[in-house]
Amino acid sequence: MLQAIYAPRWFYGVDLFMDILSALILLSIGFVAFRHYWFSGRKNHLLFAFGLGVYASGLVFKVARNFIFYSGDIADITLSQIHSSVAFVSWMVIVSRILIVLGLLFIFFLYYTSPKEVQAITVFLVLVSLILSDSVYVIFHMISALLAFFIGFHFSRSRKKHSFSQKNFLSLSFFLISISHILFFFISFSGWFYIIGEFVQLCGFILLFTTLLSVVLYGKKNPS
Amino acid sequence: MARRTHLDIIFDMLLTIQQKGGLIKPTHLLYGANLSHQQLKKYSAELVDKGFVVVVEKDSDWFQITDKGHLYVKKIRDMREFEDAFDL
Repeated sequence: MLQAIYAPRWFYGVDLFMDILSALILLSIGFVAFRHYWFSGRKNHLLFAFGLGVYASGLVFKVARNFIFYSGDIADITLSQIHSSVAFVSWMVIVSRILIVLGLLFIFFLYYTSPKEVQAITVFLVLVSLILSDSVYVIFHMISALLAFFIGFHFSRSRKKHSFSQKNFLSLSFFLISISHILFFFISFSGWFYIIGEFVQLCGFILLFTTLLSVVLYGKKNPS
Repeated sequence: MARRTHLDIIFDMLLTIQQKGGLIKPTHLLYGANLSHQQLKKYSAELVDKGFVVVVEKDSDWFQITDKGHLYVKKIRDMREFEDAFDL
């Protein structure tokens, strides 16, 4: 038997709500970035909006996949069932993972600039490892944790240069997202790792939203 | 220092006019926004075209910022705040 769901039954739906909230936060920041791109034509805004949008769509796929699992009462399914009747769901798992990692990669490349060729090879290798690897679950969370950590590290360094309080929120938020992916490594040991991981991840996204709010409210307080 | 973009120059000009109380002489605008004479001609024409400033005839042609100009400055400020926060 292959266990497909690690969350306790009482947590069904709570995690969906948390992931939807996280996706909405990403989309709201992405929307503001896209509006600024529309206004200024600056490419960085577009790339940031795109990265956030891709990440959010990955979360939406994750929500859809979990919804199908939870509503179908297939908490414990056999491997053969995954390959046959649940093929659609496993396809959604792959897509959601690819989108989440690609979203993080786009944001990562914004802060760690490298030649286009290096970026293309990195994306290719990540995709290959996410599609062809035998331990795709661990690799997905490992790559996501590393990318989120380095994005948080960028803001942490930037905070030292500018001593800017918003950078504290941003670095902490990406560190929390990174920690949540590390916690997801261990969900086969206990469902509590999944629950704590989801909460930590949501805290990370709420901190991201706090940064957006502080920027928007600053603009409203200082109209000219 | 990095070269100013088109948007930076427009912002500096509108901000200079704002800081002078909304009405400015071309020479003060030229020094305040750190422009060459050619740049002043080019960009002031653009500001007038877009309705961000109007020309007021006094002893010479003065520039007066409009509501649309004030709104544009606010938009650029919001964008810069977002850029600073997210390091874009």
